[in-house]
Amino acid sequence: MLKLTLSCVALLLSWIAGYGLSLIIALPPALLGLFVLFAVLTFLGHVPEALFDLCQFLLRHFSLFFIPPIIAAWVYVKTLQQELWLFLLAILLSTFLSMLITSWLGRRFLPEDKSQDKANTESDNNA
Amino acid sequence: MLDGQSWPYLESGVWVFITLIAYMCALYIFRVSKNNLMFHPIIIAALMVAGLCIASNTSFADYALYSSPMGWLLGPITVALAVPVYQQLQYLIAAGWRGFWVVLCGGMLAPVFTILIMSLGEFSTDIKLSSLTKSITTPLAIDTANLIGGVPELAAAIVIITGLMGVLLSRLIFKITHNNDQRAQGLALGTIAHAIGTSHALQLSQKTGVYSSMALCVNGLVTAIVLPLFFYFFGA
Repeated sequence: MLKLTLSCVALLLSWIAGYGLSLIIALPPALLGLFVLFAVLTFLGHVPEALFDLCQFLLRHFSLFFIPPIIAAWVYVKTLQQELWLFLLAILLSTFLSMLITSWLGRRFLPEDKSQDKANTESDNNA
Repeated sequence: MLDGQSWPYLESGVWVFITLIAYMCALYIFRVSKNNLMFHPIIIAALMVAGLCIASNTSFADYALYSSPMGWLLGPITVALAVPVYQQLQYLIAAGWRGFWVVLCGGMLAPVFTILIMSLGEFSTDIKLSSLTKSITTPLAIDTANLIGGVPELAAAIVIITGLMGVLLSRLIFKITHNNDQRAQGLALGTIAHAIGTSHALQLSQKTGVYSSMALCVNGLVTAIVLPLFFYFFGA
């Protein structure tokens, strides 16, 4: 319990440090907080078990915190009216094109895989 | 809305509780549907909450206000991403500079294509700015959109739509590009479809998941650093 509390405090302190830094550097506070915690972990040389468990739990249920913004976004989406189809098409097309190019670049330019562990596309697609 | 009144503790508590219950139900439905993407917990939970808002005559704007305490937690939780970033470091080194450039190119192309296509219509600046963060993980997108003058809520919705579309399109894309390299599949999923792509990549294989997770971290960090600095210096 003590370790869990300490992990929560570590997250909170990192965020507060990030917030302080964001007053000087024009970057998102959470990102700067992330760098602070990253620096601490690099200094420690490992991730403490309690912090790992806490972070894994929080990140697994991250989606919960996106429900309010999704509902709030509807207010803005409604204002798009006849532009809505173009808005969705822009997201669809740009996602398709950028992923197509990233996939091609990855296949073409990644260094040889030493483990020679290629995917079995057939079985993967069923997953 | 508040208009100088005290904070609506009761409404706030009730709606946060409802959101939590809706999320737990959505998780159960997702599991029962054998992780079918059409039943993604975010979609189902948002539909449930939206339905309850309509049924109880609560406007979406009021719901956003009542549930805002959940937003306060988003910052400290985003910091938790430091742990996977720290753990993915060895895979970033294994993928080398080439892997890094692949993620960087993909991460740059996604917002460029969106802006190009959007320029065909008459979209307001805040909608265009909100779509620039479409391929990075939601918490970073919300913060970054806020800094560059976009609408954080809209940015979150665009990110989630992009993630779902990316996963749905991935099988076709891997077929077109003859991509059967687990690492390259992971990079594409993580770079473009962020966390939603990564959870799909983990279903494909452990290695795909690891590379996807690495790409998600790299693209998220680079975009969250480059975009605000770009707007800061060029004042676009």
